[in-house]
Amino acid sequence: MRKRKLRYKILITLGILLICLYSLLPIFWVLSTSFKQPDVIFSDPPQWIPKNPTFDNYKTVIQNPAMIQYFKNTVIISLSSTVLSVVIAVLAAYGFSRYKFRGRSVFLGMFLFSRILPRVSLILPFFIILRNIRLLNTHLGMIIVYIIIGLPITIWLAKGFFDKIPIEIEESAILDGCGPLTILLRIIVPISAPAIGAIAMYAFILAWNELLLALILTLDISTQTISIGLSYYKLEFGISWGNLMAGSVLMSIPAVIVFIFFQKNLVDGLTAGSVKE
Amino acid sequence: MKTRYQGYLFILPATILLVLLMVYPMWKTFTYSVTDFKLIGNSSTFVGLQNFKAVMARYDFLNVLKNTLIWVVVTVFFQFALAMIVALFLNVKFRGRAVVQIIALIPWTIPSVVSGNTWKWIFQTDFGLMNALLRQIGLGEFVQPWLSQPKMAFFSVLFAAIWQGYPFLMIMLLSGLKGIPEDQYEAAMIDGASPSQRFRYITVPNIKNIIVIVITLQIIYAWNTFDIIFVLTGGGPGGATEILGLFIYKLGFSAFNFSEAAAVSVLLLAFVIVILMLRNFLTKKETGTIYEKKKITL
Repeated sequence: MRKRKLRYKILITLGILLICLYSLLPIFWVLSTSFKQPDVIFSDPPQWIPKNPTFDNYKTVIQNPAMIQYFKNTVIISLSSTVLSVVIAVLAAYGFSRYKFRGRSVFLGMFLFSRILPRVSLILPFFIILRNIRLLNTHLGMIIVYIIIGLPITIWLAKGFFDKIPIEIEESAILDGCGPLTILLRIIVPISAPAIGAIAMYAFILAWNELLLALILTLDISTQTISIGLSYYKLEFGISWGNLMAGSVLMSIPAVIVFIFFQKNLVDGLTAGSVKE
Repeated sequence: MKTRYQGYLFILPATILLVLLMVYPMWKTFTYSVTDFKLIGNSSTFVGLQNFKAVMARYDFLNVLKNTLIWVVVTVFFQFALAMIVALFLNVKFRGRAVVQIIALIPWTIPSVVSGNTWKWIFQTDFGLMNALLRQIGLGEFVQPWLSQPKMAFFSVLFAAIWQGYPFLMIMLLSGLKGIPEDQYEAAMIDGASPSQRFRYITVPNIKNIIVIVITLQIIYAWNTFDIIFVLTGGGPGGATEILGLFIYKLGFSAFNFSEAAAVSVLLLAFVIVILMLRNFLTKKETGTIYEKKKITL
């Protein structure tokens, strides 16, 4: 029995080790490179932990005016689309969760179906529509596009949460003469804070990380996002792996932090959305 | 008082966006695919299936289609296998499990541009980690230009895409596993069922619907891959890693051939709809296992 327990422990440890190595080794290599001086970057055999770590790569990236502009654009676009996504999704989810109206299931079905539309097949019409309404290469255009791309999941997450809130709470408020918007704002939203956190996180990461749409709908540095900056980095600066890796680390930090903060809510919401008892 | 029109008002903003930027674009894609639409002048006349024919006749189209099919089958297969193994492991209770779960999810969280750059650096020919490690452990004969040699490039990109994409499947499968009642396993253990028997007769039937859902979703995502290939190889060398997403992008925004790109988009949409119908067919048929009566929605 003791022998079996030991074997079990070894297997678990081995499993943990393998998962951590597989997930983190590439990331660790990026981090390590980002702190290396140019000559150490190309050393053979590779140095896992740089002997003379330096912040030069980070300084170069942070002081680069183009990079500052990319970051600025990304922050404007992702924060605005996050806020608007939350408002629009909460309203819609409340409507779907609490009201019975004609065509409800058709509308809901349309939102869910749009989730699985291949993004690559929508890039042409997005381009032409934004061009026609003169929103091509504007922050506003990007914000709107990211809201709509995220809506199916944001609505689904919020609706799943609202459905679980007992309706009795609202009935007493109705007797007190509260209107539907007051009920939503004063009662539902405060209870749903974790779900709203998950929605905000999803919308934020979506906009922060996105590449394809940004590639098509932005035309110059005034609107281009950090993902474009990093995918074209070598063209502009020659391949400087140290700088590229430092930029990559900087771009990942907000996404990873937000994720770790809200991951439980998101994971619960996503999976509750796909398995409905 | 709850009235009907209030329901409409609540969903109005979202619906306007949906119609403006999802329904209308889909309709537009369809119309572009059957006209000779040009960006300049906005003129368009109906040309029937001519664009589809022109696309099919392109010398690289069949190659792209073949690449895409292999890409979808191989990524989904390996992502699913890996996701299942890790999910089964994380379903065992041990200390620090929550932390390991977060670590396993991290490749999925970091921006795809970053994971593209990460693997590009690892697979770099002269100074990349991959070749350096191979030299270090005495396997120098395997040192090669991972991303600039057609066959290897495809596998390298696949490897990166699997690393980045499997955690999503894993977390979905894991939540399914966590929902399986413990007593079913206990009963099976008393009956003397082996681990593989327990997997086959309890685990799989219980999460069958989740399996179908994640595989369909993943097939659609794989068919739709763009970012990681764009960053790693840009579809090269010589079209070796070019799949439909990049093909549409290049056709539309490098060659500015909008109507042919729209024709490819319509083919892609048609494929997605077929997969979905197949999915519905599969999940509808499989509701009868004794362990499970769950209704699955998208």
